[in-house]
Amino acid sequence: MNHKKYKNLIDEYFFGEINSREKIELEEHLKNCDLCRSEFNSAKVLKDSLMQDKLPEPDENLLKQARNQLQSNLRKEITHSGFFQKLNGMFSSSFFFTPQLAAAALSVLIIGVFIGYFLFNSTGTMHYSLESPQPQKTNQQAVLSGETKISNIRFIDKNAADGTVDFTFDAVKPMHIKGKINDPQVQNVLLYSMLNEDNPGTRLNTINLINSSKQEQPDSEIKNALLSVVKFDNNQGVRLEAMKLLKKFNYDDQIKKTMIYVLQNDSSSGMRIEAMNRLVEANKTGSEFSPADLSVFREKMKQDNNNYIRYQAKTVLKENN
Amino acid sequence: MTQQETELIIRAQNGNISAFEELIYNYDKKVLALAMKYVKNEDDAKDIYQDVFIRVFRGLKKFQFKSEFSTWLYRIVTNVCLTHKTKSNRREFVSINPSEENEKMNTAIELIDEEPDPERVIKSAEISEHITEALESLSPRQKMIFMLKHYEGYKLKEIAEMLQCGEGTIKKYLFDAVRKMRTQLADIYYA
Repeated sequence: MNHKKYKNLIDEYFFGEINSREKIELEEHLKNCDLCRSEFNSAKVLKDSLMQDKLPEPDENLLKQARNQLQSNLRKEITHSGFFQKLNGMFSSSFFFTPQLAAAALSVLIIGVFIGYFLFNSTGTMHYSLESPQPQKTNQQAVLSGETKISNIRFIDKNAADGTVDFTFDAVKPMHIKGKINDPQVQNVLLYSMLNEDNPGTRLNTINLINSSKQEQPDSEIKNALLSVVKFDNNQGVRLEAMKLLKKFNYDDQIKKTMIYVLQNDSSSGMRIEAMNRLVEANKTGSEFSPADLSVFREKMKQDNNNYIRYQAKTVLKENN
Repeated sequence: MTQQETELIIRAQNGNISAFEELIYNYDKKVLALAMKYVKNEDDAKDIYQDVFIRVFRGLKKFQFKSEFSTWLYRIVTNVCLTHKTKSNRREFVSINPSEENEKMNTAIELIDEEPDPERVIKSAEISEHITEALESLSPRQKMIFMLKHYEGYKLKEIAEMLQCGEGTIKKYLFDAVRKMRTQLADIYYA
């Protein structure tokens, strides 16, 4: 008798991987085989024990810490990838002082001598790249005028014996932008600043700047950024200002979810109160709560350490019963 | 995969961070819980969590909907967990040769009496503790497969897809793990 086969079938049986034909075959075999029946019983004991062993839910604080840390890591990722990287390259020199900038300035001092020599002593071709993978030709005047920083010179033709040289370099220029708040270029900088700037003061100024605009309802990209700030910015003042600015936007499901998230997770009672007020206000004007939303209110009614929130949660539950 | 999840993935692929967060917050609690059970250490579990979701963020653009998102996600989870063990050097060597692990499994399992003592009713927390201890006797790969099956309820086929190997191999790992655990728990559940 092939006991090994039935041992495997027993395990398959307890893990729900057995088919009906095999199940019948196993049951028949167990009727007549003491050895396999013993195996079956011991497997059952383990299975019964396992049934009582569920994966414990992680501690809420641990989850919150992990999410906050992830949010911070994502910001770094965004800074170093794709569009934002390009944006960073274009604008960082005008707004921030960085070690890279210092290195670039030092490079300019050293390499400037060589550039001067090549520019005024040869008629050779010159390329430059502005954070672009493909070097572009430019004229000497454009490079030498203004505050362009030159760095990272790479010689293509190192041999000047024939009277010509060929090299590329990076030119980083401080930028100044003036435009409407919905201008894509302006908006890109504002989004970058709101989501990636390390200094909370700058993030706050960006939000205040958008808030002070006369525009009734800024662009949806700004809204998405604000929702992210409200949920994850590590500075309470920045979160609160973003929350206030969100009032400019029509209430929708995305905002509702964010308010619920804040109510559920924010450590600041001020933020939770703002979120609660927005939810209550929307509810009065026709927005309905889902059963999941109401369970958050139920939890708040029982557990929140703020009296106002507990009271409001109770009122919401009463009115939505 | 639900329509809502598909939409979230597409929006996240297009750079919408809110969508990305909404997407992963459907899973991150479970991932953290699994990591906690796997490493039994909050700091390591948090490291795994970060590593997993940063990899998800980086790789999401390449996700082509050829599998369930959860399968793709848990493929990353298993990779990170198995690598994490190697990196931290706190656990045993991860064998890539199934026969090598099987040799370790040759310890007899026939020490178990047929009938369990009905009086030995063990509280749920104690059971969990015993099982966690027994899990430590498994190789990293056995442990991960066992956890995906038992705690997450994945089918062998799905686990095979996650670990990118044959269903038969997964079955062997799982059943070896179960028998090893039975041996480990024999003294507790049988008089």
